Amino acid sequence: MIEISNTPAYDTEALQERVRELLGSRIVAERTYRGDLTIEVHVGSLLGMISALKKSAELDMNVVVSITAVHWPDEPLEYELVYHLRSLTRNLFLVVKTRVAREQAAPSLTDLYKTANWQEREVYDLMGVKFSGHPDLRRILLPEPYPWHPLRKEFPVEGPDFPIDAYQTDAAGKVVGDDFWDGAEEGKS
Amino acid sequence: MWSEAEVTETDDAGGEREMVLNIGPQHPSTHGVLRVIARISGEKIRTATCDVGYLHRGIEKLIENRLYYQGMTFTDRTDYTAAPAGNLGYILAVEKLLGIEEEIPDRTHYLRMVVMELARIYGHLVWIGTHALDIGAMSVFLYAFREREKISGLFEEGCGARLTTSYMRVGGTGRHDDPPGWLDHVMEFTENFTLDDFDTLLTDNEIFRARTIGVGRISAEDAISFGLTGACLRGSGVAWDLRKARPYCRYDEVDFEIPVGEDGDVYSRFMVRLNELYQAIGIIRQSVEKAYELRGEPTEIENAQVTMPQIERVTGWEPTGETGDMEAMIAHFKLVIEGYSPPPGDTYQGTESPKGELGFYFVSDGSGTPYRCHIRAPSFVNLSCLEQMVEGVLLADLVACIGSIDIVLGEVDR
Repeated sequence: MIEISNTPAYDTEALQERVRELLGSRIVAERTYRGDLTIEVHVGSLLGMISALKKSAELDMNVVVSITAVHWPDEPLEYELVYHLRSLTRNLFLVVKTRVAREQAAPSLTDLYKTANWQEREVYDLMGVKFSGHPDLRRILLPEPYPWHPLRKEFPVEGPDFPIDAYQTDAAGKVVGDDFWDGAEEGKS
Repeated sequence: MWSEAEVTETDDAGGEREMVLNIGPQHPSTHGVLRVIARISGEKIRTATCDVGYLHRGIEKLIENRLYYQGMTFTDRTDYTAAPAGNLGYILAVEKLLGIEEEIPDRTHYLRMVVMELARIYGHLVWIGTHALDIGAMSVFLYAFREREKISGLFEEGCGARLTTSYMRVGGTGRHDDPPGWLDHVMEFTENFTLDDFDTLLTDNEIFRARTIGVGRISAEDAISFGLTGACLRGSGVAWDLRKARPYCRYDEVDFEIPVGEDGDVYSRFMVRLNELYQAIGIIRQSVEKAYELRGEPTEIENAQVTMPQIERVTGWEPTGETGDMEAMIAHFKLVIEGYSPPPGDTYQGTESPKGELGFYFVSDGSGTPYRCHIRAPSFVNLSCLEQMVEGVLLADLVACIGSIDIVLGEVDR
């Protein structure tokens, strides 16, 4: 039987202090906005830190509510991964963010939370962020041969204006030219 | 991974014959366009793989390319069995992003709760009808849709639409969403609404119990690890409900209980949802009482940047000889063309929809359209546990398991 709590164990300031105590100098930046605490970490220390947040008895972040990504095409580290963590037993809510470059893989949380499996597949499918250590990183919403990741900012909202079979696949069945604009040039020529 | 060669019977090392069976996407008991690829041996499922996305419309991308008030119409089309639940999640998230959630009047909150709980009944009635139909209890479907029709009528009376309601507005309710006599009709509905039909037909039904008790077990630890929410989590014995834990609207002002199951099987989830229907009726009655008390109070905030001016002030109103007001016209024009621009920042707001935690994550860059909108769809996350839930169960129990998760493919695929 898992005892949940209907009153938050800490308010935002106290939560901030606990998180600081636990993670210390590994936090790159922190911000409280509209009552929610957000911490930013380096992608290298992400797995260790989320694992520490989960194992900590004081915070007990036992649920990943959502995993998503934000695309900032003009910045060197293009993808901002956003993890919303929640503790059912302590009734706490925390946002963890990290940044990865376009071809850089982020660590997968599948070993810690089973929900990460599908949610990371969704991020990979729609954004193109790869997760290292994921057991089954396939597309989930779009068909497997689909060449683009439509939530990237360069993808036009009305979709590409040329047929999908204008694209070449390699021997493994993988579409050549994963990038939308590279593909567009090939398709038009 | 599903090449033709594999879809045949094969002998494995143990001599047991195994075959791959494709279920869906066009099959009534997959509740929409869900496809399940089951590897079965005899009648036992060895492994099952879900294939979703047949209803993917790119709603997140569409919302990112529209003004905030335009994006709300898409939330009708995610969980289309309970559209106001999606509307409420969306507008609460936008209000949090704008930082105006403290200004919302009480009466608005209670009206929203009335509509939200009507939506919960509306959604659960689809579930109870189709779930029972899957298991072979035909008549429940008809009773459920008879009751559901009455709620459709209430929605139509309130906002003009029956299915895709777009009921609420950022900053309040729609101006005419509480027409004279509507609350009386809601009260009348709650007085006449009965669950006895379902109770007598299902709860103690021997066949139904045999098909559901002990089937599709999910332990509390697994439910938490899978991130399950809603009745799937509470059916496993975890009494987590955002309406109690992180109250929004005025849920902290009304009395209700959180039904919890014990076994985490299909029957527990059934009982949790059935009892939620009773609780929803109680919440509606209390909210209507409060809305009666607050009659005459405003239902919208006074903020020309967010809410539309009175239409009489914009166009003039002949019966009273009122002429149009230039300032109102400018405000109206700017709101329609440019919308409103929340300050740069990002917020997440979760609400307890009929399916579980429906969350909207918004990133604003200070412009009139969201830079990023992510919908944390409860059906999508809940469905991910199906593959584990059906391992080793009989093929006929697969439909009972799918039905008990209560998915809407519009929300899974978005």
